Amino acid sequence: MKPENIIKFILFEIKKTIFSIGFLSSIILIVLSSLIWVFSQKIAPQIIGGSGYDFVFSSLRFDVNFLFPFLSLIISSVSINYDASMGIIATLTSGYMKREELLIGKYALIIVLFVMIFLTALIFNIVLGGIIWGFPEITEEGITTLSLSLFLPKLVLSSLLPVFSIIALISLGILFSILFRNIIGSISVSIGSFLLLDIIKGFFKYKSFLPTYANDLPFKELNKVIENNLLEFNINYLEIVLIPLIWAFLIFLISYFKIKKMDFHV
Amino acid sequence: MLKTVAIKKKYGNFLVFEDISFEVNKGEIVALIGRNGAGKSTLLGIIAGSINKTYGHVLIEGRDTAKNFDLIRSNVGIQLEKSAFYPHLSIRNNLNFFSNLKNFSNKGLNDILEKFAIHEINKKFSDLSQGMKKRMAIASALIGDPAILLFDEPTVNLDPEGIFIFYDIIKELKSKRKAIIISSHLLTDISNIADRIIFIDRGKIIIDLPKYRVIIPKYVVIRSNYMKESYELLKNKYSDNCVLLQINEIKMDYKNINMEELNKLLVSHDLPPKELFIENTTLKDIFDETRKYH
Repeated sequence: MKPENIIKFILFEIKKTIFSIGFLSSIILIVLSSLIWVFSQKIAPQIIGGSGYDFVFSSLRFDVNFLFPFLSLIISSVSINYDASMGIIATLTSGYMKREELLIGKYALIIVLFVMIFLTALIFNIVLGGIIWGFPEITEEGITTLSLSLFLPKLVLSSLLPVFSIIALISLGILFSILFRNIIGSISVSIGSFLLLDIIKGFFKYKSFLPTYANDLPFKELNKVIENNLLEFNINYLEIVLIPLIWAFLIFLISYFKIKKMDFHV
Repeated sequence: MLKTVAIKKKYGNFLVFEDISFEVNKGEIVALIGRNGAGKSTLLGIIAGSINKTYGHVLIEGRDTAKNFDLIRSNVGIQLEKSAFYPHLSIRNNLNFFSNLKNFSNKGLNDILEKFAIHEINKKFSDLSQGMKKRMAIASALIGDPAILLFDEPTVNLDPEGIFIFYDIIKELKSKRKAIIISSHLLTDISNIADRIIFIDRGKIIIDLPKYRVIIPKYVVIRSNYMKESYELLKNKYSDNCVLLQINEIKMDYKNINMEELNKLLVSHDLPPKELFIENTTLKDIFDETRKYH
């Protein structure tokens, strides 16, 4: 295996993908969802909380709980079969890349794309919230400096933890893109399985995280909870980290053995 | 340089071919001939690594490629039958990427583009003509200066200029002692440049012989403005069964003919031929011949 080829492949694919319709559609979807949250916040502030913080975290909650997992599954489910349908995988595997290099490259590519999508969503939500509610609302007033220093590391941690479940979903999506040569087929199966995945242990455990706080308590009230050190992040690492990673690894192994056996024609 | 040993390929219960064993030496050009669907592209795909074999070995310099993909990466260049590159990227960006994967220099790539007269390097792959796509695919096979080159139906869709360039490059590659396999379903297509011919039919190699033993002159063909008179003259001069009058030509058994004498004979009777040429064995002849024994 040549790691430098995997890196070259990822860099090339990133350059190619960030201007693709699929990636731009994902960004547009994130932007639209944020705008819907702004609208909701404006017409029903009593439900969401009414502050700039509440908007940012409600919107991010929706992204993390629904949009990111959904998009990660859909995008990864067409990652290999789309290129294969154009014969590009046949060209790549003809003396340029090993199948496992290709698989790992696609895997890493989608993770990098999701980091980019996540950062875009985070920055966009903060900027949008700042513009509409004023930046002090989301930088100074909502949470006291002291509380923020206690709260922020946990917030960052709980924002990162969903990544493990998303990795499991990416694994599953890539497996679909290997199993189904037809793009429509793999997307349909992904949508279907997305609806069923809640019943499989480990896939959606991150739902009990960060966003819950934003939804259950307006942030100004949350301050009191933080100041009184009443807020507890009950992170079950077995369920949140280990089980999704085991799922991701097992599914990756199936993808690996499947792609090794596949023939790529033009 | 390249050796295949007892290669077998099956799709489910369908046997594409079996027991495919041959060798290609440095500086040798092998024509891989067979009908459409004979498995030529599959065989080249197996050598290049994009298709798995059911059984057998591909050896490069005596080492099994199944155990070492780098042998393929550093030694094999392939032009696939249908050109497949990133459609929304330019020729330059596509080939840069593939060059990069083989650590091939920019200068080397520019030389290849120059050789193939590919000038519109900033044009998107999807906007290229079929001929230019084929040129690009052939050019991509040379990336990394591989010792083994595989060309799958290289002249299909190629414009006349492209065909000339291709044959020139093949000659140059031969002089650099590259091992070359060219697959085609047309014998005439590559008979001029190949050293050896391998025929695949019904899942087996039925011929693996030097070209001179496969492509042999079969008929002398005469096209003339005086068909009837020429035919009468030749029928009288030669035995009846070696002269065949067809719609717009006369065909004579090559074995009995001296071309120079024949031409003189026709000219001396004021029946100068418009065209006088030798027709070689065709793929069909060879298939018909081999079918008698298989």
